[in-house]
Formats: sequence, structure tokens, C-alpha cells
Amino acid sequence: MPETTLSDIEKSLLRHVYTQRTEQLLETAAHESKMNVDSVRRASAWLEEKDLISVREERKTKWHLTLLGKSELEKGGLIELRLLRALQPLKGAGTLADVSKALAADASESNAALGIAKRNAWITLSKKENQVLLQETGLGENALKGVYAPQQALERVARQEDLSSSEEGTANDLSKRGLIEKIETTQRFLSITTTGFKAAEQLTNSNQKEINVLDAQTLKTRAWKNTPFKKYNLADPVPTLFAGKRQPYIQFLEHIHQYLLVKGFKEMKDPLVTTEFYNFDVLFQPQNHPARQWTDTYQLKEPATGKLPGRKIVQAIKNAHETGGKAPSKGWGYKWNEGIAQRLMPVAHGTAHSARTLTEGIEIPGKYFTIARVYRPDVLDATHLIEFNQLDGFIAGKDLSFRDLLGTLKEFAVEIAHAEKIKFLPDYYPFTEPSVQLNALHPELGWIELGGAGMFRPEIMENLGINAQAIAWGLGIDRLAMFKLGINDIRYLFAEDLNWLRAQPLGV
Amino acid sequence: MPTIELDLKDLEKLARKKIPHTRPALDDLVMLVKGEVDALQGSALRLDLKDTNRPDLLSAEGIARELRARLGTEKGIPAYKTIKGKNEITIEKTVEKARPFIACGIARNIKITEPVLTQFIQLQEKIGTTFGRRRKETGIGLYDWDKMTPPLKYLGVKPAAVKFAPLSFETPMTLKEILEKHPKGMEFAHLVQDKEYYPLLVDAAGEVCSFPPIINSNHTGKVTSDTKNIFVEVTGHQWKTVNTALNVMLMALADRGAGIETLTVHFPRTPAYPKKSMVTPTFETETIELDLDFVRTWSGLHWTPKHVLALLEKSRMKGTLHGNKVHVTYPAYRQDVLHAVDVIEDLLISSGFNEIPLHYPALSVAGKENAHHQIERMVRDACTGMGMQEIMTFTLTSREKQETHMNMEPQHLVEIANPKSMNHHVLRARLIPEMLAFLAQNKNAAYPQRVFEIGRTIELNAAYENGVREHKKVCLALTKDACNYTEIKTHFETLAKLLQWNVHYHAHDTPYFIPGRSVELRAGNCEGVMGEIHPRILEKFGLEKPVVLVEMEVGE
Repeated sequence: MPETTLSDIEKSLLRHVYTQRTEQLLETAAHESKMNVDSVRRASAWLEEKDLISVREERKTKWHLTLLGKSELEKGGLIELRLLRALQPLKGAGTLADVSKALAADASESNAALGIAKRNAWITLSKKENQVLLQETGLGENALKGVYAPQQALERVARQEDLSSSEEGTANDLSKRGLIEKIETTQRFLSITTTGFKAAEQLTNSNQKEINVLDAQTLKTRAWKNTPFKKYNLADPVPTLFAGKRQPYIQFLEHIHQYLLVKGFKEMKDPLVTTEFYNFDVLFQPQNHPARQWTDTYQLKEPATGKLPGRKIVQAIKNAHETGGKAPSKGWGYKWNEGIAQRLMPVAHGTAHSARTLTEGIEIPGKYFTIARVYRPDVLDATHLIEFNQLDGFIAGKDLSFRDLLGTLKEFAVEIAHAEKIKFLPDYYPFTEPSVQLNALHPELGWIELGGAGMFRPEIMENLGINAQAIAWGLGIDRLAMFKLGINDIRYLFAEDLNWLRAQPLGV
Repeated sequence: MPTIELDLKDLEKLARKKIPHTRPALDDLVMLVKGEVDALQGSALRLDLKDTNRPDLLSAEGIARELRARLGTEKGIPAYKTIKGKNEITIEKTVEKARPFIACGIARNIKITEPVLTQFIQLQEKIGTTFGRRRKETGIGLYDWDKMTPPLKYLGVKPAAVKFAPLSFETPMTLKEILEKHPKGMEFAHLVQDKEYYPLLVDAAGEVCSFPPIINSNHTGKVTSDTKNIFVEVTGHQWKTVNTALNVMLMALADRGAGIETLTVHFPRTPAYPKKSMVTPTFETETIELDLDFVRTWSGLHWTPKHVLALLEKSRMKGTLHGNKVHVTYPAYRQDVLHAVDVIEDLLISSGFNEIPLHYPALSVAGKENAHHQIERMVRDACTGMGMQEIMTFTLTSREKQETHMNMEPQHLVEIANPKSMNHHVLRARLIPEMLAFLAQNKNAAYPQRVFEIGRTIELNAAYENGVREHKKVCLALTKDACNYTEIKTHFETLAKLLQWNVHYHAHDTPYFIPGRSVELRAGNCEGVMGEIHPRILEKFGLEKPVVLVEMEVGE
């Protein structure tokens, strides 16, 4: 039994850990049990090896000011703020040379400051007589009043305060600029394991005249007849059990998936990779459209091109672009290029799947949806994902009108987003006319943009040979998911933090 | 989506109507021009414009023009008069291949302030960028007319044949040098680089006015608040597009009090040109027919013909009724009108989107999901039932994670041509590397860790559509101080039993597992691998405890 194999310090530590309700910092355990820290360290390692206690290591990071950060604060704050201040005596406009001089900074520093100020939309740049001219936009005013997150974070680090998780992005930026650095320390937390719990019970009860554990032996010997049962100590701690659970964002998406099935929608095929033909061309998006530019969507290097459907359909789409085809439309009036349509890309919007479904043939009336993984070139941060999920769909029918679209959108806003009020705004998409943006008044988030919608253009429907109207929409559901999950950092939809995942309650 | 900056007090003057300076009232107003407030500071407004096919809305003048009709201070087609001018410009055959068309006009007696000039330059820039597709289709040039000597010539010249001082430079350069050294030259070089002759605008005194659509000359091509008469030219590949841009630019100048004077453009006698000569600008109109039944079908609204005519006038158009049809006349700058639905949208905007009575389509159709969901739910139930935590990782990742760290030869990865970051430049072909990266992120979470992911992978395979094959896979991973094959096999067999898989195991070495400690799995058409990750791989991912795992296909 344990007492014969455990050393004295192990026994003392096991007893102490057993009496704790929650896990305890190793140093605190040493202090409270009046043991030597080194002994506790040794004993905890041995006990952990015997699986009697568990030791959780936590790497704690703390931000510290670098020499550069310190000197930046001494100069009066971040260089982009000083740049704004330097513009003030110049009535908000000055040349780069003036400002660099006022900043007493070298070219690379003032260029960096310029870049940041530009990105914050504090200034606009223009060229005049070979001089770079800076013009303040008025948006920097708040920053000068002291509400500029990077400056606040820098000051808090200087005061040795802990930064909140929402400030992490800001802190990382500051660290990239060499103004602050991360220092890591390891803390150890002790807690009892299931076997340790039993061992400790036996340890504390071996000499007692009470039954703690009613076991088979006690039943066999009928010892319970003469010995009283030990009463529960309600304050006794128990080990933690991590439940097996679904990923919260998947749970949210599954919920919407079920809602749409119940509403009578059929799910569309949703490959991750598509030809531009479905992503753009079928959707009447001209090949020189700005949104088809290299910077707005990803393209594939390998494989670079894919297969188009039959000649008849390709010709029909070509006609739609060039002359309007079968529809009474002018078309875009340019020469459509099949090579561009063959290019492959990761799907950029869920409507690509609607385009494919329309091309392959639909039922009329018919209701279709997809919760599609879509890709947009961006830099991953707290507010931007480079891949996310979009709810797209359409209803096709002979008597559908713009009024049906607005009614359907309202239903989604109320049933999916629990909107209290909605507002429709005129919008623009190359593939729908009219186009509308759906804004919803969410009980807690206030007014949010829920998505875009419209009626598929006759150039699309008629050239695909579909004799009906289709009302279509794409809803951004990630914002709602973030609200349901109670997160501010969008990356948590794809959380890589196991502690957070384990801590999430059910019922999203 | 273009973004423009304007001043609300200026807009108020141009619109001849009180304009709210606060939100949400301002939001409701700008939505009439498909605008969205991006930033508002006092009266300084930054506005996103959603319609990329409306060059006329890219300035304060244009927005005010639209609002005057929508708010009722004016109605119908905007009226612009021209003064017949005597000046001429000749297009020479040499420019036909490079950039065939030029259209121009003169804005006379204009008094402009610095902020108004900023609007003009913004409009010129934005038209070139959005409507002109980064100057490829059209580019606009503004000049001080009083420094030019008519008649003008638009011609093509060899790249090194002519020298002039481009805007902001004192020293003359050849066109070739401009493309190499001038910031605008470098930015737009691709528009002309492959041509034998480059476009050039010169005046009668032999002075170079510009190298369209790249850069103006420093001498004539500078417009300041002292400029009295502005010459406007637009070059491009289509006569119609060029004229649309010209009209929009000149209307803005006219809105600020300029008189618009025409020029005659002489064309070379080749088939590429419609006539011998044309006079520009012409503030033309175009027509389209609107069937009232179609209006009803599309909108779902039963407007009277009279009401349709009134809504047209609010939308800067004009209609005449012919039986059940309306002949609609609209200004030619509305190049976005391709089909009657484009007019219907304007009617709906004029009528107010939020005033439309809603209708709910009642269709009785049955819902249906794709086949993989059912199996996915069963796998998920089995894994959570075993007490495992589900995770979801990104499908975009790096070759380093997928192959280099995994001791795999480069193969089969679907690669992005224009990645923004080398952390996300391929689509994943396997879940295991992403799982290992996840575990490496969670070294401070309590052990044992038992997690799983159900997700898609994609790899090159010429036998499939578009040369790629997708799989749905599940990955189960265990990690703690000591873990072994028995434990992962226990988990996998439990899963296989629940899913009724008949699994065949055979020993097979995979580069990322310890040799002799990995197996290949097969159940029906589905394949998988299971084993103990090699310590070298653990080190690459920064893992400090052993990991056993399984990755198995569950469908396509």
C-alpha cells in the first residue's frame, strides 16, 4: 500500500494536495504545508511519476519594455503620434522633409511612421513638385487625446501591468517594432489525480475506526456492522474530468445547417477549388472587373487550370458577356476569354456553388443552400480570417419577385440573427439586380451588416435556359458565431487554445 | 469598392438641400447613391461607393447631381449645354494599335478653390482606377489650356524618339526613360510597354502635352487654383467608354460654373474608326424599353404607369408611355444600364427599399443534405463519446508544416499562386501536421490530451475534376508523458466498431512515424495510417511529450 512505498515528504505533500479544493501553485503549497520548496519540488516530481498528483506547467509571459520602447516613451510617445503632433503647428499639412526634421528621425524611421499614419487613415499623401505632401484627415484627433491603443499598451507595459487578451494583437505589433519583448517564466500547479485521491484517503484513514471506502472486502467481512461510516466532507475537492465535446464553431454551423434543412433547402456541392468560370463568369462578372484582380482573390499555381462544362454552356456564357446572349441585354461588350475562365482558384464566395448548381440544372420551384468554406487574401489577425464560412443560397420559382427576396431576408434576420429590426440598403453585385444589403439590429451587438442579396440577373438565368426568377443571398455568419461564442478575436472560431475549448459550455 | 472624400458643407451647396451631418440620418441619405459612411469627422466625410459601374458618382458634384433628383429639387435627365468651339485635334494612324481613341473638351472661365481642385483630381484618379480599370480602359488628363497651342495632335511615336519633362520633373526624359524612372511610369508601364509606338499628345507649337495614359508634361499638364481654362482629354480603347468618362469629368466642371466648349476630333481613315470626325463632348442620351408587366413580375409591386414615370424622373431618367410599354431615355453616362432590370432597380431605390411591403414565398419543397454529414455526425458522436475534444484547424497552411517538418518528399500539394504569407500558401493534404501544430500550441494545458478533428484535405490527382481530389478525414491524437500504440488502437477500434468498419491492418513504414511502429489501415475504400510520431518530428514541431495518432479517410 502507498504508505509503505512513499517517503515522508511525499506523504506530507500528498496529504496537503488532497486537502486542496483547486490546483495550487507549487510555491504556495510549500508555504501552506510548511515544507521546504526544494522538498516539494522533489516530492512533486516523484508523486507525479507515480501518477498520484498531476503537475501542470504554465508558461507565463510578461511584456517588458525594450530600450527602444523606453526611449520612444521618453521622446513623447510613439513616432506616429509625434508625427501627428509635428503636423499641428503646420496646420495639418506639411512636406515629408518638414516633418522628418520636426521628428528628428532618420529616413527609415519617418517612412515607418508615415506608413502607420497612412494605414490609420490619419493622413493622406500626395506628390507636389517632387515633394511628398502630408495632409491630416482629422481622424487622428482621438489618438492625440490619448485613445490610441498601441500607445496605451506601451504605457501599460511600462507600468508593468498585464495586458488583456484583446490587446495581444497590439502587443505583437509593438513587439515586431522592437518596442517591447516577451519574457517567459514557468509556473507549476499541483492537483490530485484519481489514484492519488484514493491513496490519500487510505493514507489518512489507515489508523481510523471509520469506514471511508466501502469496498468488496468490507462487504465480505461484514465489517460495516461494527464500524461507523465516515461522513462526507462536502468541502473535499475532486479531480477534474474533461468532457468530450464538439468544437463550438462547428456546433454553431451545424445548428444553422439543421435550420435550413428544416426550412426545405437542399444542400449544394461545395468543392474547395473551382474554376473562375463558376466563381465569376457564370455570375456575369466581366473578366476585367476590379474584383477579379490578382489582389482580391487567390489563384492556384498548381494545378493552374481546370475543366469547363460542355461547349453549349460555355458558348451561352460567352454570349451573355459579349452581347447579352438570349437575354434582352447589351452584355458587357468585350471579347470573352475562355482561358481566363479555366483558371483555378480556391472558392472566393459561396455564390460560386450556386452558379455551379444553376449550370448543372435545378428544380423549379427549388430552394438551395451551402455553408461554404471560402478564401480571401489577407493577413490573419484578430479581425481578419483568410478562410471562413459563408452561408449562401437561392430560391428559384416562377412568381418570385424582389418583395419575396426582402421577406425571405427578414425571416433569416429574425430566425438566425434574432434581429429586432432590419434595414435594407441598395447594394451592388455584378450578378444580381436589384442588389440589397441586409442590416439587422441585434439585441446586443447593435446594427450589424448581415449579408448581401439580390435577384440573379436575367443574363444568367436566360442564358442557362432557366425560365424562372431566383432570389439569392450570401450571409456572413462568422460575426454571429463570434457573438454566440463570446469571443472578440475572430481566430478563436478556429481556436488553437485547448484550455479555452475545454472550458466552453454546451448550448451554442 | 472605390472610396472618396468630400465635405458635407460643399455637398450641401451643390445639392441645394440641407444634408444631415450626423449618423444614422446621413447613412440613410448616402444609401440613395449606394454609399456607405466609412468615416465622418465634423463635415469631412469618407464614403465607400459600392457600385463600380457608376463613374458619375465618384465626386461630390456627381453625388449632389443624383441627390437633387432623389430629394426632389430637380427631376429628369440632367441638362448640360455645350458651346460650339473651333478647336481641333487629329488622331494619327500611328496610335491605332497602342490606344486608338481620344475625346476632349474645354472647361472655360472656371474659378476654382483648392478644395474644389482636390475634388476634380480625385474624380480624375478614381475614374481611371475603377471605371477605367486602372487606366487600362480609360485614363483622364487635365491641362492648363492657356499654355497649349491648338490644333492638337494625338499620335504614336517610338519609345526613344521624343523627350519631354514629365510632371514634377525638370529634366526631359524619353518615353522609355519615363517608364523606367518616373513613379507613374513604373506603375503603368504594362499598359504600353509591349507596343511598337507609344501614345503622345502634342500641340501645334510642337510642345509635348502628355504621354497618355501615363503622365502629363510638366509644362502644360499642371492644373492649379489659378488655372482659368481647363483642357480635358480621355484616351482609351473604346469610343463609348472614353466619352462616358469625358462627360462625367466635364459635368463636374460645369457644376462648378465652367462653360463647356467642344472640339472636333479627326479620325484616321482606317476601319477601326467609325467616321471621319466627331465633335466632343456630346451629352448624349440612350433609350431602353420597359415592359410594365415585367416591372410587376420583377418588383412584385403594382405601380400605376403614372407612378412609374414619376419614379423614372426621380432616377434622372425620363419615360413616355406607349400602351403597356415605357420608352425610357437616360443619360449616356449610365453605362451600367444593360437590361430593363437595371432601370427597375433605380425605380425601387427612388421608391425606397424600406417602404416595400414584404412577401414570403411559400414553396413546399423538402430539404436534403449532402451524404457526408451523416457519417461525419457518427464519427463526431463516437469521438466525443470517448471523451475527446474536437478541434478545427485551417485548411490553408505551409509546405514546411505539411512536408518538410513531416520528413515527406514534396508531392501532391495544391499551391496558391499569390499567397500573402508563406504560413498560408498551400492547401493541406493531411490533418496530422495541423494536429501536431495544435498540440505544440497547448503544452501548458493539462495532460493527458485527447483531441480529434474531422476535416477536409485536398491533393493533386489528375484523374479527378480540375486535377484535385478532396477527402473527408478524421484524425485522433493522444499525448501525455507516456503513451503507446495500444491506447491509440483502443480508441480507433472503438470508433471502427461503432461505425461498423471492417478494418485491415498491415505494417508499413511512413516517414513521420517511428520505423516498425506504424501501420496502414484500410476499411472499404477508405485508407489511413496509425502510429507513433518519430521523436525527430516531435522536435521539429517543438513537442515535448510523445504523440500517438491515427488519420483515416471517412469519405470524399
